[in-house]
Amino acid sequence: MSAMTELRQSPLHELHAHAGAKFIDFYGWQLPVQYTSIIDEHLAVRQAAGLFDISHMGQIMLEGPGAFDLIQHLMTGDLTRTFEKGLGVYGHMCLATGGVIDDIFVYGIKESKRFLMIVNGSTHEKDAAWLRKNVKSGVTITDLENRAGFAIQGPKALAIIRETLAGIAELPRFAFQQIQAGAPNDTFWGCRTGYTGEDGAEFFGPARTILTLWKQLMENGAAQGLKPCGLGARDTLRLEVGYPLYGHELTEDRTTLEANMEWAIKWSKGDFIGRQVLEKQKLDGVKDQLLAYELLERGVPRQGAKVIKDGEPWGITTSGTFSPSLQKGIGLAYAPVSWNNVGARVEVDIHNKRVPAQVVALPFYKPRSLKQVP
Amino acid sequence: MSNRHYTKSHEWIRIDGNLGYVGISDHAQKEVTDVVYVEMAKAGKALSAGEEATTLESVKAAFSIYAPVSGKIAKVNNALEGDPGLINKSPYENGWIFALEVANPADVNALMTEAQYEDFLKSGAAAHH
Repeated sequence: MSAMTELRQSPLHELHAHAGAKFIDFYGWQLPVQYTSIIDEHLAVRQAAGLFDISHMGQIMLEGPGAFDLIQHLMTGDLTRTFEKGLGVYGHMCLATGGVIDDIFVYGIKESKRFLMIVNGSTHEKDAAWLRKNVKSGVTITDLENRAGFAIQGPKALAIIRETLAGIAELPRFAFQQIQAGAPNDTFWGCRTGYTGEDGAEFFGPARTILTLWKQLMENGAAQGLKPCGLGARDTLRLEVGYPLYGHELTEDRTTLEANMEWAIKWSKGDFIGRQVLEKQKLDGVKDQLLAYELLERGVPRQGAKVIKDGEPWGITTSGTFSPSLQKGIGLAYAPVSWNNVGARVEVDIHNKRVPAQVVALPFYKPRSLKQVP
Repeated sequence: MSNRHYTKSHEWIRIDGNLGYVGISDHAQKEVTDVVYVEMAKAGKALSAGEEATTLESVKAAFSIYAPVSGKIAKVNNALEGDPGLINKSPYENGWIFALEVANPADVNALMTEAQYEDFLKSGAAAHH
């Protein structure tokens, strides 16, 4: 036997194994990559609905009178939105250099001064350390344990939720609710967010509660085409709508502006770590920027594939795949900002063959169940 | 038991006259996941055993397909151009990839039989790519 690092398993692991999932190692977690087929699961989400285990994502609670100011200081998004409109807030936690530590969602309850921060599984420990390093008095940080989470996504997601739970499906997009399920410490969060571009919700809470809810939704949704989906489909779905994946499009070496995500920076808010560099970069302009391309001939671009324009190989693919909805190769790449014009012709080096491609606007694919992305 | 022979890189070959039909095993198609694109092998191309014949792309990654024995590519499965998923749906029948005009049909005896291939998979020696 070869030495193996012990992989963490989701509280939903046995359900997945029972459903015939194939597992992969994802940043120290053993998670389903697919159950039947990545394409079948992808299409189920575009046409009906899918369930995704996201228990590997970190759930960090920040509480106390100083929590609001701390989070405002650490992210590009503006928390006043979560208080005034009851919506989850997306943003980046940046280094002073403007490089991205992680992309996060924060859901806040004004009266109780409590904030739930959802962070990527791959950066969870780094994020927790960053929060503790920057913490000020009046804030308690709790990295929640024995938690689980899942997303239900697709045009039929809301109808399936309605059969199981009241309230959530009636919330506006990005809104959230805390739901009491029996015992006081069984409170879980239902959020009208997701990572596929389809309508739906994400649920975060105690492992036992989330497990029960997954089973109920699966039971109620099966007749409407609800399928459990793995990380394979999660990746093709998010890429079709142009959502970034940490470690690919977002890294500590690239800023929010280079990632072409200025919408995630709320300039009207006060100071935050990284603001100075970002402001200067906005003034001076970025050198490289994330662009989106579609292949004009058959082929599948992958991470690392060079992008070439007029013979110059200065582009590098950060994510690429075959789009099951569009039936063609699509990719995101960092390249000189002057290349980022919709319609511009480029070439992508795939197995030493230059495949013609065209710069396009995001999203690559517009989901039917939502009018706006993101 | 089938009359297919298998390589350690998970291709199968079935001899029919002087032709050897080549595809990937059921185990391999499951590992590769949904095939979305098969580069058509070039008819007439001469290959030695173990030489790369063509590549296929799945949602997950690109995979090389090697000639199980020496020969010349006589036919390619054009149906894969329109429906590359045939490799997943029917790895041993409609999902064949190309046919070799085999230099020496007896060469397949150096490959694994189906029973030997199944043992090979069970042994864990097949641990992957």
